[in-house]
Amino acid sequence: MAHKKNRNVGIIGIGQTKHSSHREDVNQPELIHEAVSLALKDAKLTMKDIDCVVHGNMELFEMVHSPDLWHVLGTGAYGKECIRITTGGTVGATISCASDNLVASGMYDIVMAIGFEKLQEGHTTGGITNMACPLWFRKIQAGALTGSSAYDVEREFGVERADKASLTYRIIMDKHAGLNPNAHRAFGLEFSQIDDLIRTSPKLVGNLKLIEMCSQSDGACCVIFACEKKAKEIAKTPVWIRDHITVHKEENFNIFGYDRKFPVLKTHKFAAENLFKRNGITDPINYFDVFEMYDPASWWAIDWIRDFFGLKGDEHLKLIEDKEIMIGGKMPINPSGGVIGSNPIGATALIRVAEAAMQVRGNAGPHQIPTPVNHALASGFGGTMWTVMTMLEKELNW
Amino acid sequence: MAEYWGIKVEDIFNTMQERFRPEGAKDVDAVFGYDIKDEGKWKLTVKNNEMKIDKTSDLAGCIATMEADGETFVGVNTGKVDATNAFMSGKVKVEGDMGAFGKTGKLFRKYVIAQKEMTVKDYLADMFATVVSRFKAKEAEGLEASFAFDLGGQEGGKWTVFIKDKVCTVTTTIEGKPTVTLEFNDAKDYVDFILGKIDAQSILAAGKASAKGDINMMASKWPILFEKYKDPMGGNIPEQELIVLKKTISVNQKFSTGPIMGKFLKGLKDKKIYANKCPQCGRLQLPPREVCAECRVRAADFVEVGPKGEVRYMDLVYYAMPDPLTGVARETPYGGINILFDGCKGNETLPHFIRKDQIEKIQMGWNEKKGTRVRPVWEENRTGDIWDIKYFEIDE
Amino acid sequence: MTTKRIKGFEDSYVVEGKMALPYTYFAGRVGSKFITTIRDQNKIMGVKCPACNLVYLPPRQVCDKDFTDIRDKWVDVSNTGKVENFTVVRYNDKHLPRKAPFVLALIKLDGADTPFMHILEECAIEDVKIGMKVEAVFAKETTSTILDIDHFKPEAEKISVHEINAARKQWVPVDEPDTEGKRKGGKPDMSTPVIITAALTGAATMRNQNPAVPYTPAEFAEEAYKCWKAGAAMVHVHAREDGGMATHDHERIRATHDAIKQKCPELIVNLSSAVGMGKTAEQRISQIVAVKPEMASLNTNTMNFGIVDRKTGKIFIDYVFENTFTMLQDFGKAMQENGVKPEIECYDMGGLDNAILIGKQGIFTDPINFNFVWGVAGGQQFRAEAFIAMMNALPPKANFTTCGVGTDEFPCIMQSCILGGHMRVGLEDNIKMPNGDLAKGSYELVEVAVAIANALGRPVATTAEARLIMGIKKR
Repeated sequence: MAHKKNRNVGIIGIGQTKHSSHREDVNQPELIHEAVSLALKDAKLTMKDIDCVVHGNMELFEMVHSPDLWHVLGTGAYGKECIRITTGGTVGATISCASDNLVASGMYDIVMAIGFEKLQEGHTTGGITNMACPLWFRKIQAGALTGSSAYDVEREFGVERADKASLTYRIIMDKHAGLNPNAHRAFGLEFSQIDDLIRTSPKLVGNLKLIEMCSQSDGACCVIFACEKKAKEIAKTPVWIRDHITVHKEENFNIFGYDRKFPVLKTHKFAAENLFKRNGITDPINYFDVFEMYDPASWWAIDWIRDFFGLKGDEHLKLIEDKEIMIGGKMPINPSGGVIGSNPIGATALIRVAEAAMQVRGNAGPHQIPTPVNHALASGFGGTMWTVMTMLEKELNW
Repeated sequence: MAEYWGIKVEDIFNTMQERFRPEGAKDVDAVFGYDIKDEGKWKLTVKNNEMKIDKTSDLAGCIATMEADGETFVGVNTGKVDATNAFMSGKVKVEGDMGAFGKTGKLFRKYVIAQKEMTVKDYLADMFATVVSRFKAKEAEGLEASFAFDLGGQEGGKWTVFIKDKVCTVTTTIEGKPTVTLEFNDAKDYVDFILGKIDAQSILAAGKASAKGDINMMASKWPILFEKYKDPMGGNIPEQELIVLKKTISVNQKFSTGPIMGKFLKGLKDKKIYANKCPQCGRLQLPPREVCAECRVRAADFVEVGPKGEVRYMDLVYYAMPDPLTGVARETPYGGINILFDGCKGNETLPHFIRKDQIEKIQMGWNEKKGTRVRPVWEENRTGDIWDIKYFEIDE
Repeated sequence: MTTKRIKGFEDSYVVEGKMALPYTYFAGRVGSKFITTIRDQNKIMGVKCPACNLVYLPPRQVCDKDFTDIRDKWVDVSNTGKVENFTVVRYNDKHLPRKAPFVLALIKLDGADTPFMHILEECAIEDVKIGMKVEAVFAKETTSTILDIDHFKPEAEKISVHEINAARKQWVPVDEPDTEGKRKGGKPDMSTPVIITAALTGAATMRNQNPAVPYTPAEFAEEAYKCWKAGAAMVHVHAREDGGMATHDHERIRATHDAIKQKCPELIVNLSSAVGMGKTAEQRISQIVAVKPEMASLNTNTMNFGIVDRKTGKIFIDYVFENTFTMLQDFGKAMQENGVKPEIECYDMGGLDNAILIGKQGIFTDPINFNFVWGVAGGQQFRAEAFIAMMNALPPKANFTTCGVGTDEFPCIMQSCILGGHMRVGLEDNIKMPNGDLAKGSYELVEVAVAIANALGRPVATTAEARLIMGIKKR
C-alpha cells in the first residue's frame, strides 16, 4: 500500500546555485538566498505566497549551531512557519519528504524546502566523526571515507574489472557534469584515461581513490511544493510526488565481518523493494526513465545500482560497462553529474529530487534526457547507512 | 621554450631557490623529481633546511616524481590552473610516495607573475596615438585651436594637437603660439592624471604642472572634444577583499557511559574484553550496546571474548583527518581494523587500530579465508577508555 | 569518576571528552565590506532598504522583512549612538570576549534603525543607563572581525548648539537706525547671533586633498546635515560630478540642492554663481534662475584667480575670473527677479565699491549681505586693518560675513565675530583644523567656529534667526 495522502502534491518551483568550492563572496544566508530567489522566479511566486519553510543542512558542518536563526535573511522565513530538519546526508531528501507530508496532510498549501551546505567553511570529515558514539567510534573512524565498498566489489568481481567499472562510472558522471552548468567538478575526463587514473589517482582509504570520491561543494537548492489545486493553477507542468520511503538502521561501524552466513541489512535494497512493491512496480529498471542517485563515491554507486533495481549477478556492472547509464542509454543515472560532481551535502539529496523533477518537466537544459521522462526516481543516503527514496510522476494517473 | 602566460617552465625552476622557505622544509629530507613533458626533467634535493635544483636526465632515487605538461605545470605554480582539478583529472600525476610529495607544497612561496606594466613612454605613445580616433568631429564645429603638451622628465616629450575644419591632427613638436599649453615637470604625472590616479588640482597646487594660454579651452572644451582615454591595462579596479576567518571550535564535553558501555570500558582496565549478548537472537555486540537494534530487546548479559582474534577488515587510511579531540590532523597512513575476537562470529567485530609498521602484512578474512591473527597491546595505566588498548599487533 | 550509584547501574560513569574542529568562515561581499571599512577607515556602514526605509546594521544582503535585495544600498552611519538595552555579564568563560564583570550593550548607532550588540567600557557598570550616548573606540590591532571596533565608551559630553539655542530666548531685531558711528570704533553688538556658513566644497577642493569632500548629492546632503547639527545655519555649495569635476549642469545642481533640502529642510542653501573655472556667464547664472536657491553668491570684480606657489611666486595656473559690471548688473537683476538673496563677494575694497556703485540701480534690497574673502591668489591677504576698513565702508543696514583661504580662515572669522559680523568656514576654503590635522569634514570646522562664538559669548544663529538677520524669506 502506498503512502496514504490526503491530497496530491506537486513540485512547482526549483532553484539551485552553481555549486563551487570558491564561494568566499557570499556567507551562508546569502548563498541560500540565491537558490530561494531562483526557485521563486521559476515558480513565478514571491515570498508572500509561501506558507511554510522547511530548512536543513548537516549538523555542525560549518561549526555553526542553529543556523536557521540567521539564515532567515536568506530563507525568507521572517514571520513565517519555519522548520529545521537535519538527518545527515539524507537531510535534503528528508526535507523534501517533510514538505510533501506537510502539503499532503492539508496543513499548508505551499511549502518551500531549502537545503544548503558550505563545505569549504567546515571540516566534513571532522563533522561526520562527531556523529559517532563519543566513547569509541568517534575516536577511530575515518569520517565518511571507507574502502569497504571497493573491497566488496573487488572480491566479488576481481580487482581489474572492479577498478575499471568504478572508473567507467566516474567518467560517465564527469561527462554528465560537463553538461550541467551548475555542476561543481567537471574535469573533461575521457574513457581513454581509465588505466592512467587507476594507476595515478591518490588513494584515500583502501582502494578508494581521490578521483572516485565526491567533491566538497558550497551550494544550495530550493524546491517549492504545492497542493494539487494550487500546483495546477501556478505551474504549467507540475511534477507529482507519487511516494517516498525512508529506512534507517542501527549505526554500522562494526558490520565488517564478511561472513556470508550473516548478511548485513542493506537499506537501499530494503527500501527499494518495499517502495516498488507497495506501488505495484515489478520491473523498476524498465519502469523508470531516469534515476538521480545519491552517489558519494563511484564504488558505492556501482554496488548500489544492483540494490536499487534488484539486479542479479553482474547485471549492474554490465549496465555500466555498456554505458547504458549514460544520457541516451537504457537507464540514465544522474544526468546532473551526481553527487560525485557536486556535493553541498545538506542540499545534495534535495538536488537529486530537483534534478529528477527537472528531467520530468523536460527543461533540465543541456543535460536533459532526449527521450520523454514520465517516471523518475531519486535517492538519498546518509548516516551510516540510511536511505530515502522519492518517486516522481509526470501524470496523475497511478 | 614555450611560454605560458608569458612564463617559461624554466622560470619556475630557476626561481625556486629565492622562493624557498626553510621553515617549510623542517623534517624534509628527500629528493623529488619533476618530469615536465617536452621540457625536461628536474631533481629537487631538500636536506638540512636547504634545497638544490638540478636539471637532469635521470630521476632515479626520487621519493616521488611529479609528471605534467608545461602548461599545466606553469598554470598550477602560478594559480592560473586549479591545482585540485589538474590533479584529479590526471593532468598532474605523482609517481612514488604521494604523502611525501605533499610536503613540497610548503617548501616554496608562490610564484608571482611579474606584471608586464606599461611604462610612461608606452602610455604617452598610446595616449597621443589614440587622440585622433577619440576626436569627436561634430563637437568641433567652427573651432580652430591647438593644444600643446610639454611633458618633462626622461620619458617625456612634446606634442601638439591641432583642430581645424573639424579635423584633428597631432605633431610631436610645439610650434608657433598654441591656444593653450600644458606643462608638466614629469610626464609621469600627466599619465597618472589621465588615468585618474591624481587630479589636476593637486598637481597644479603642488607646482608640478602649469597651464598657459586659454585655460578654459583645456579645462572645458577638451573633455567634450575627445572621448576619454581607456587604459589598455584595464580598469585598475582592485578586487574587493573578502574576509575569510579560520578558527577552531573547541568545546569540553562529558559523556555518560551507561551501565553497558561502562561495564565494557571498565573491563578494559582489567585487560578483559566483554561483549553483550542479545537474549533473543544471541548475537554479541562489540562494543556492547544497551539494546539489540534488530530484536529491540535489552541485552544485559555479558560474555568475555578475545582478547585475541582475526582481522576481518582493514581500512587503510591515506587521507589526513583531524583528531576530534585536538583538531590536529592525524599522521597517515594508518590502519583501522575490524577484529573478530575468539568467541565471536559473523559481524560481531570490534574496530580499533593496527600497529603502524604492520599495515602491509595484514590479510583480511572472510568465509573461505582466515584473516591475520592479532592481539591487543595494553597501556600500562588503564583508565577505562578506548586507548587502554594502544593498538593491536600481529599475534606471531 | 562515578556519579550516582543506582542498583543495576554500578558500572555507569562519566567520561571527560572534548570536541575540537577547525573551520573557516566566509564573510561574503557585504560582510567583508562592513568589516574592511571599519578596519581601514574606522567608518561604520549599514545598508538601507529602499522598500521599508530601514537602515540595517550590521549590513545584510537581503531585507528579511520584505526580501528586497539591498546588497549595494550602502549608507554611512555614525560612530556614535544610544544604548537601547544592556546586560552585565558576571561570569567568566573562555568563549567570552572579556573578563567578568563587563557590559554587553545593544547600541543603536545614529543613522541606523537596528541596534547591534557590542562591549561597553570606560564606564562604571552602575553608571550604564538605557539611552546613554556612546561612541565607538576602534581597535589598534586588527582581527578583521567586529572586534575591530574594540568597544564602545560613553560619548564625551558635548552640549549641542541646538540644545543651547532651544534654552535661550529667540533673537528679535531691534528697529533702531544703523549709524556709521555705531560700528566705527564703537562697541559691536555681541548679542546678535552669529551666522555660521559651511562652504562644503568650492570648485577646486578635491578628495585626494581631503577625503571628506562631497561629490554626489547624497554626500552633500549628509555633509550638510552634519554641519547643521554642528551649528551651521547655511551651506554654500558648488555641485560636483561623480568624478569630482565642478559642474554647471542644471539637473545635477538641482539634485544636489534638493538632496540637501530634503535631508535638512530648514538649512539655508547658498549656491555659487561662479560654479568653476572656465564657465560662461550664461552657464553661471542660468542655473541660479533654474534652481532658485534662497541665496547665491554674486561676484563683484574681474580679477586674477590663479594658482601660484606661495613661497616662490611661480605661476601654475594663470586665470582671469571675469566679473564685468554688466555681469554684476545682470546677475544681480536675475537674482532679484527670482527671489534669490545675493551674497556679495568682495575680494578687496574695489569689489565692495563696485557693488555699491552698480547697486545704485536699485537691484539690491536691504539688508545687503557682504562676504569678505581673504587669501585668494589674485585677491588680498587677510589684514586686520583692511578688514576694519572694509567693514567701515559698508552701506547702512548691511551684514558682513567673512572667509579666508587656508590659514587665513581662523583669524578672519574670529575678527568678524569680535566685530559683530558672521563666519564662514568649510573645506572650500580650508581643509585643515587649527592644529594642522585634516578636518574630518566641514562640520569639524563649523565646530571650531562655534567654539569661537562660545568663547566670545555670542549666540549661534538658528536658521530662523539667520533668515531674519539676512532678510531671507524661507521657501
